[in-house]
Amino acid sequence: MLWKQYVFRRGPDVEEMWDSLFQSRPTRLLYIAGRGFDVRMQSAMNCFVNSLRFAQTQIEDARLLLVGFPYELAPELVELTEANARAAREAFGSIGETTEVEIARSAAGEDDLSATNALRIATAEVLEQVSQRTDVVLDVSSLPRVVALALTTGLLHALVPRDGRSDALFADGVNLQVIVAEDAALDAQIQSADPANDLVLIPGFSSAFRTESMRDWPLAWFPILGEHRQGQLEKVMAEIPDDAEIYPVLPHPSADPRRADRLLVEYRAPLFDVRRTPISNILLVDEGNPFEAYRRLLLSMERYRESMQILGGCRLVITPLGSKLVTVGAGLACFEMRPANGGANYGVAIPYAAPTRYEASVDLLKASQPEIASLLLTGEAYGE
Amino acid sequence: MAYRPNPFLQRMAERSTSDQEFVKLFSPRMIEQLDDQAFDGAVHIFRSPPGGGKTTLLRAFAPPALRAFWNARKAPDMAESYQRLRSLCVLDELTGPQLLGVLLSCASGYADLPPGATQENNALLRALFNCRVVLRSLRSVGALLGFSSPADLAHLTLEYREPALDLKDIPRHSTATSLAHWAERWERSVYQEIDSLGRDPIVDSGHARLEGVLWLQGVDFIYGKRMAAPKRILLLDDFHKLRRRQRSMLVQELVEMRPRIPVWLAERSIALGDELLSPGARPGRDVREYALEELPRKASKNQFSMFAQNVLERRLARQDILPQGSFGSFLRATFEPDEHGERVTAGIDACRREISRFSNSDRYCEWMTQLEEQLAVPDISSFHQLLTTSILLSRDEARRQRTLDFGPLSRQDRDARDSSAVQAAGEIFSRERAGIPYYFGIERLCLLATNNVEELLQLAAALYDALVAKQVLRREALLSPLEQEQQIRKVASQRRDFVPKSHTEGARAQRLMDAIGGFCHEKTFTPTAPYAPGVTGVRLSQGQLERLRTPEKALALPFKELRRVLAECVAENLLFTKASAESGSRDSGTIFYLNRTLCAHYGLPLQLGGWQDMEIEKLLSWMTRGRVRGRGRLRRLEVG
Repeated sequence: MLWKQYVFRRGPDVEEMWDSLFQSRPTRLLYIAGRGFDVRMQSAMNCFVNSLRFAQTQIEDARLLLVGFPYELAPELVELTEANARAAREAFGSIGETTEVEIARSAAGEDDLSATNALRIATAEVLEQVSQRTDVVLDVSSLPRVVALALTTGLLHALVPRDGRSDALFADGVNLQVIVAEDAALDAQIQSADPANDLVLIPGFSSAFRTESMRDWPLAWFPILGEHRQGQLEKVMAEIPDDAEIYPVLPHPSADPRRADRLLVEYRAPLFDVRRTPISNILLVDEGNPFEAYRRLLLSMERYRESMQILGGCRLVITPLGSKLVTVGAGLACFEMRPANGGANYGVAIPYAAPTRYEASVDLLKASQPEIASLLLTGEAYGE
Repeated sequence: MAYRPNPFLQRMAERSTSDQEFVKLFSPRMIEQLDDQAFDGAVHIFRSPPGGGKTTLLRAFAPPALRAFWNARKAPDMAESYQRLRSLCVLDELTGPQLLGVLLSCASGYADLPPGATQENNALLRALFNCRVVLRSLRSVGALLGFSSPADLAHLTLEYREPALDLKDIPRHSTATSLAHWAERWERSVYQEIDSLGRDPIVDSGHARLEGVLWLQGVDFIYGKRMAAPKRILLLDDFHKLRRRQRSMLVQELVEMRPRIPVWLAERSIALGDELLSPGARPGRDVREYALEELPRKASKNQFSMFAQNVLERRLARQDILPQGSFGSFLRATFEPDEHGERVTAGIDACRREISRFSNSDRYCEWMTQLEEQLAVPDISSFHQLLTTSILLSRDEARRQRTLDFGPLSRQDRDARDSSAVQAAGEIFSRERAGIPYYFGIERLCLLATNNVEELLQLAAALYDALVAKQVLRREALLSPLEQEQQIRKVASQRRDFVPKSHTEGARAQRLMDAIGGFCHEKTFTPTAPYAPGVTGVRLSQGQLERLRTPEKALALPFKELRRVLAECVAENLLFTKASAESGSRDSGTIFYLNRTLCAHYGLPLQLGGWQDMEIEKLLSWMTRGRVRGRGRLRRLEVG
């Protein structure tokens, strides 16, 4: 288990960690954030930039990379997106430059570019910026889940060697942090709609879902449930064979102790009426600790893989529809489970039905008081 | 209490439903409607909306299902399917399945191959296709021969004849095991590159032809000195999941190849385009197209109803909560004598008030006398008669103003002007005016399914739950018309509400549906019922369609958007199309009818026929802004 020991801070402890992490040392920083309407990104960035100043970090180079998405938004949310991007550029302007990467809708010579291809191209473009950095910060607060997962796993893929060495997470001293300005209540209020007809597969996690040679292997599906995502769940479920083992993942413990119960009721029809999922298959993961979610999912996937060895192989499929923190935890589990070579007798896939439109109340967004959490995934903290 | 699953909620076609179960649930009527020519060597395209039976049809010819059909050939309920498959030489009485169906899904990542129409990318598509045809064929032969593990492929040897003697990219291995290893290794190496997180995965495949088809035509599978599966069919499901460029390339190359085996492509219904036909390919000869939802309709008017009832009976037979019988026997199709007495009385009173202006007219004296006789026993039937007479009175009033005809009308005049369409209008008017149930009975349940099995099962599942609830409460397992309508309207509302959550163009599609629904409602419930029994669709003439396909520059973007939304509405079965022929006064065109379940949501009749001509600009405005609300009670229906 890669993150048997881990560094996870939330609330005021985050700034304390940043103070000690950046204390008077030279840094070449890449800060990645979403160019979205979610103003929680500003809270995280302001807090981070202030910490750098306070720690008197020697900034050799700092770059803010804003990732834009082709979603359809109401005019007031488009306005908020622009204001958000302006504010981010201004806040970061004191320490470095800003560049933008857009997830494209179409490619040269094609009038339809699959969402998976668009995501792969954008992820590759982001990863090209990683070399020579001492610190990479991925702020997933305003990133859609699918982009957050693609970037988390992509950055880990670029930084963490897969050769079994014990200090793999040292990653040549590059500190990779994922930060989240979390507000579960607000997450539940942001409505996604018009899910794309074609599934997106997170780059690096497609073969298990697509190859003919693995098609006859048994499949275990771990849908991580969140509010108002039934349409997306059903889009993915349409491609999950009926004999798949389904392990619904519910947030418990949670800030709202009844949240898991409500989710069970919300998803009763597709998961329990149509697919007859045994109640005993439900997995509970801690809503507030992504490393606990990671551990729970990883162990479950390991167990299933071992059990299915006798049948020649298996496919492990995760669909993240829950909170950002749990999504990041799932990303870590998938990264670790991903076979290092193409000859393994199992595969991991992350299919997702991305919405093409979001709806949210501007007032609620602006009133949000998120709590910042940070996961330090690689770097000096994991050295010998 | 033990949890008993609803048998109508289980999906049928998915490949992992056990084959024995699939065979039991499969309705042989689907194969019965198929033309024998569908088994000729050519490219055949099958279309239907989701749930229309594409995957089910294809799966019926895959080896596990064919073996299950053959194993169950002596079971009484299998006789029809077995005989039809025998007549097609798919099954042999002595030796079993003769046809090797190679079923592949096009949803398996082709669209995610690197974009751009470079030679390398086209070659990569062909290479993946070729190795998947090989791999699936070998596994399918194994399934046909009853192999229990992939290791058994070692007993299968391969021999080649024309056109497989000339293969360049697929190796001509003599054992199935080594060829399967080749295909597996190749496929995985492609995906390793695609999953490597590079911006442009580089895979040099060099495959220049769709050799998988040639290989399938020219390979002999030898098992124990005997040739297995002499007949072949290639079944490509989810063809719409390919990128447009990939689709046209594959169809073009398949057609140019002139395959000697049938190649079936299944895709969702399309509207407003014939993009699939390659230049030079002629529909009918090179490419044969079939609309699955049309098959039962073509055979006979009631075929879908028979097919649907057959499907429902097979589902019902899988549960033990309700007594066995036909599904229709649990749905009361007639009214009890005093049912809805208060609603009927109130409706009659209101309608009487409306037509009171005709009471003192000599012209309608006989009609009013006849009406009073009919209303002597105020029940639903007499209420329908009252509404029918009211429609005829309104029509005559409007006509008289034009013709200045003031003479009295006899009872015979009334009967001559009455028709089944006006009677049907009276029936839907009774629902609108007094809330008398309209959506009930097995025949209407089948109509509500819009020729789509998935929709039928959704409606049946809700009715089944209501029946089980009654059974639990120890009441008679029989749903009254009102109970049926309540369940059906609930499903219809959910169908409408779920549109933005389940379709890419969901929000626009929902606005368009609401607008069309509201418009049809307004036209249907005009007092003269001019399009009796009602309007349930809109028509675009050829001229309008042409403008939509090749718009002027300023309108290119919005028209493209409308085209996309209409195409998706048809693909998702929210709308279904019907050609409208040219007549003396009007151009030919395409009618877009509302899904029948949605008709229940908008309170419309279920018959086809009534439609209104429409301009693209109006549809565009409805799609983007919604429809400006009409008058009075229509407001209630158009609240989005």
